[in-house]
Amino acid sequence: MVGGDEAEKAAASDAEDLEWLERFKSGNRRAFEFFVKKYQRRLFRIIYNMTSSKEDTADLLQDVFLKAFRSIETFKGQSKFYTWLCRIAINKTLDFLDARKRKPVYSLETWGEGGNVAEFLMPGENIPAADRAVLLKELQEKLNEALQQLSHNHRTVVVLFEIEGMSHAEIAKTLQCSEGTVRSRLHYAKEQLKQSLSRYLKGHGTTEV
Amino acid sequence: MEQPKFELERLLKAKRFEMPDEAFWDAFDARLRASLAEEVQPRRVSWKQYLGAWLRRWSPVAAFGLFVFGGVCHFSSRFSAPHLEMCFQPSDVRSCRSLSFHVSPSSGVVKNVLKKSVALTDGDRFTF
Repeated sequence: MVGGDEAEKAAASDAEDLEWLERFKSGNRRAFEFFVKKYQRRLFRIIYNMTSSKEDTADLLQDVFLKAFRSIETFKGQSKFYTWLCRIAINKTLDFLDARKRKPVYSLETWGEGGNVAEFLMPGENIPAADRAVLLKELQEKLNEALQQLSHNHRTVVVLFEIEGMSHAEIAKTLQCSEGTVRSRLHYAKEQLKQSLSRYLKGHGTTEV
Repeated sequence: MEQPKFELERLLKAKRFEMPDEAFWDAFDARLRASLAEEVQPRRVSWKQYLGAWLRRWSPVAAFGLFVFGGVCHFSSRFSAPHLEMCFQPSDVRSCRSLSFHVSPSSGVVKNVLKKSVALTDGDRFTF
């Protein structure tokens, strides 16, 4: 459920998109840079977490923006601009994953030894820095492996819901399927992930000493 | 040491921290800006591209035309062979010292006729 403030922010953001879209359509081609700046990081996160490759993500993201630039005239405003952009990104990425016959080469942004990730995952834990770094590296690798074991459709839903924070309804609109399908894919994907990561999850597996 | 345990959802949320540095985005923006500029500018067509496009468009028509032309030549020379034979009866060429004419190389019938003509004309020389 989206709170009142968040709903207001989302509405303001949509209005801003439409305003820039009008500028673009009235001939100001540089207005497109607004959308690039605004959405490049969010789209990066989606593509990156689906491909697990920074280089492939950079190429795909370029293609996504170029495609959006070429076909922006076809956007009729029936959905949010971001939903439309996100749909392009997901379709491009799924096509890429289907066509990727070779063994994927993963290149990940490291979580690093300390900083935000450690604070986020282990707040107040008194773990020596060296152990913490090893644990973070291992966790990141296992999590990535587990995500990559999911089918493309299941991974997409997990990335959009759990990582990107989209609602079921937004995901359903983006993927052009029912909310029930989204929920069922999400449930199945999380069960799979819990099995793969049981060693590291609360309420699962054994405690190592 | 006891290994800490996590919520799955929290682990997944940690993926949000995997974001490249500013240098990556600077390079990305520069590359994208160049691609978008290419999209906006009208494309200049070189004569090679123009010729290539023209050939791609018209070469099937040209190939078909050549095929039809070849077929017409082939069959017309076949059907014209009896006329040549009639023109060069042995009695006609016996009195000539030299004779030259053009004949289609694809016509086996015409060649045979000419060979027969040569055999029938002792002492006379023909240039084909």
